[in-house]
Amino acid sequence: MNTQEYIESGILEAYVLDTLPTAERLQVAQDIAKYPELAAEVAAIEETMFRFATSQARTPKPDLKEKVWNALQHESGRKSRVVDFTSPQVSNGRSSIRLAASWILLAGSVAANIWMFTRVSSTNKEAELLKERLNLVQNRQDSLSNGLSAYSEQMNLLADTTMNTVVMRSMKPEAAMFGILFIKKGTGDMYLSLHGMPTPPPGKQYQLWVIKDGKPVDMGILPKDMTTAKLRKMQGTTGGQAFAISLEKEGGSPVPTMDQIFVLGKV
Amino acid sequence: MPPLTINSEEELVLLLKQQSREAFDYLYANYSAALFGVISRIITDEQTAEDVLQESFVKIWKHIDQYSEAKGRIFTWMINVARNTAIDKTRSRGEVMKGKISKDENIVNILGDRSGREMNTDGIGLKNMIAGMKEEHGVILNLTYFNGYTIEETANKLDLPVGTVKTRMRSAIKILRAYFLADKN
Repeated sequence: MNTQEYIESGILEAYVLDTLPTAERLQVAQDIAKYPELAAEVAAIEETMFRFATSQARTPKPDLKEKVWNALQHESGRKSRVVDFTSPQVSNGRSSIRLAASWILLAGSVAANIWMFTRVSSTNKEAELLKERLNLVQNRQDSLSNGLSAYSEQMNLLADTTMNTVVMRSMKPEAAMFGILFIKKGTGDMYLSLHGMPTPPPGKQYQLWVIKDGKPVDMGILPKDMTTAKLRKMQGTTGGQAFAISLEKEGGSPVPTMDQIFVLGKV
Repeated sequence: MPPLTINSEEELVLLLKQQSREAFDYLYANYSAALFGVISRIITDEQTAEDVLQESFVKIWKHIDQYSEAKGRIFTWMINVARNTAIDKTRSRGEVMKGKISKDENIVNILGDRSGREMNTDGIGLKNMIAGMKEEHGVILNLTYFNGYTIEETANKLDLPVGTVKTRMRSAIKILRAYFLADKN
């Protein structure tokens, strides 16, 4: 692409001023991400519009500030702060509806496969195939029961009044994921579990951060096997206003990559 | 509590996503005047302009998850939220763009002195610079930036091809750029 011609066309100005139709806007956004010369031009246009707006700044009357703050509070109050988690139907302290359903499904699929196995003909080929299927079911059963025990562990932690919880919510609208931190009051011991977070691509890892006094502090890299619901003990901490998990290159990063923050939650 | 130091827009974004009071204080202290300035260029009634500023802050606060660095600077995103909220307000009141726009009106709109408010002290240099802008360029800026016309709509209104509208907009902004980014490109 001839970036000079692209720039001269004025499409970048149109983009910054938000006057392009959606399809064109998305295309330009992609082009900017791809070509540094375009990104540099956009930066100059944005700085120009920033200074233009600043040169025409008007200070609103002083009492407007609290009025605005109150309006924001009113809005936040409407948001649901409840954990969207399988709510524990605590009877004897263990099972939940969803956990029970998983067992039923599991039992059903195992039963179906055992039935099929007993009806098999004597040919080797079919026997091999069915053996394979049983293996798969066995693996599935293993991972399901691992998952299930992880869930019941976390139910217990949620119920434990000596633990604080911080729910880190998804920062990516297209992904329904979250992380939970269980923090022991007093000692600051911390346990983390992730739910629905995509497996990091090769060369990348998740990294946990705590925000203290407005600055992100490294809390460690998450091992690759952490994308199941497994609970994992993390390096502990006390204090902090928020926690976040970002996707970083292997080995981690001294500061979080802002647009790679996957989940974030306030204490 | 010691004042919060924020070294970059990235830190601001992170704080905003936390939805903390500190984040709001910083945002308001550093950006409310710039947003209010632009809103005031579009909305002449003071009370309505204040309402729009409040609505803009609510939108920015509520929809901060929709902003990502890939979209550009957070300031650009915020100013567009403010502009669009203001423009929607004028449309909902049935204000319609007049047929022909005079050169003086261009200058007035770009500098925002519709209601006779006091000019920013830097205004004289800016005014001269805008006066030096060709009418055909200024009108594009006026229609798009202050009246919310898309490139298509501007092209239809002025009976120009879309490509011409874009190149003229670029020329208009280049003049602003030369003025504001003096030593830079």
